[in-house]
Amino acid sequence: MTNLNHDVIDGCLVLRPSRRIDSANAKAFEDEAYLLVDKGPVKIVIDSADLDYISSAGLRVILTTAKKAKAAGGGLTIACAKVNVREVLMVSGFDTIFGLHDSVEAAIASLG
Amino acid sequence: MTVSTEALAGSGELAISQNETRFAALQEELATLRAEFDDLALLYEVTTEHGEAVENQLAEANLELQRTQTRLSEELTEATNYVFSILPTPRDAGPRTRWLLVPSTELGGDSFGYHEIDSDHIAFYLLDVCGHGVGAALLSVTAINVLRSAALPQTDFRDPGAVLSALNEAFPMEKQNNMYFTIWYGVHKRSTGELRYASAGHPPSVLCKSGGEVLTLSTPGIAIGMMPDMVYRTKLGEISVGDRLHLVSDGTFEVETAPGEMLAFADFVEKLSASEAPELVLDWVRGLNGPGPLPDDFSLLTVDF
Repeated sequence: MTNLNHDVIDGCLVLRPSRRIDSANAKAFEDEAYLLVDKGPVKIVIDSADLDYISSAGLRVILTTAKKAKAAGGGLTIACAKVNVREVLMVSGFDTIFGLHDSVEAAIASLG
Repeated sequence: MTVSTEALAGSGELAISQNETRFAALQEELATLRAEFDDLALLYEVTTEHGEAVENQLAEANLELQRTQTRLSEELTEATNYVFSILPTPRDAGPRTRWLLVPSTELGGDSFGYHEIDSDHIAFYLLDVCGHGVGAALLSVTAINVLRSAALPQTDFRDPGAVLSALNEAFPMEKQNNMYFTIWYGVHKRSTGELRYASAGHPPSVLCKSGGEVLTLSTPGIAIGMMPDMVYRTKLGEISVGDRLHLVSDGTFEVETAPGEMLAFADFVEKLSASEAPELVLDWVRGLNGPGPLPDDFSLLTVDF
């Protein structure tokens, strides 16, 4: 991932990682996400519609990004996870901690 | 035509003086060239000497590097030996245990164990610290030693949920160099066959009932140390004689079956439940992964009741 796709919708930063977040690109994701959180909205939605795979290294950077957002007074939630990604998020307990939503709109609404 | 001898003499003198000037200039040039040559010769000598000195220094630095490398690899071997030394001896019966741990690098973050809490209860656990290497291994053996020696204050080690909640209090990632770990922890009560278990961000354990039924056992909850004040719940299951329980780490099945195509957990469970020995599962996963080390630590603990 050279450039992390993202948008700002209704005051929320929507991150759109593509294909995979694994040990090869987790650091790049974290760096770019941190830059974006520093610059702008601290309410974050991870739109996983284009994400096929997330490894434990990927979970780690979602967690660190969430902690950074929370420390800045915001939050993080996850939307549109495909079956495989959803499975990993559920095994890791991320579904209960961050919430899984079927649409970006629902995710944004949940961040209030 | 008459030529004045004076003029002749004059032109001869001119030629001589011209030659003298040229000669002097050449001599001067020669002197300059000689001086330049001497300078260059000196420079060459100095450079050669310097080069030799640099070469010597390099050779010395190289030797030092080799010594350091040898020392580090010896220390790494020591650490690896320690990690393997705290892994439990396989049990022959009541229940029988077999296991395999193959770190993806010299030292991994996976570790596991089992021990009798009292005459009626036996605990089984497998944990996976994020990342690999010395740092991950240090946390891994620390956590395993805490479990083995029941070193958590006011915690009933027969209650898996309580154990995980206490671990979460004891190992916040902020105080563990930002590392955390996933774990599956279960306790079997021999007198009743009851299995109590809890997991924290860890793949389910696989229970193969003697009748052929295959169950995946896990509870919701995130990895130990990620977030403070988490409460982990205990779930209840049952184990009968002839049942087989597999504890696994995610590295055991997170391999690609084709470029970009990850092995599905359900397919792994199917293969696992049909395999007689941990080695066969490793062979199969290695076959899927192709040549080279597995991307993550492979650890599998199989318990036959």
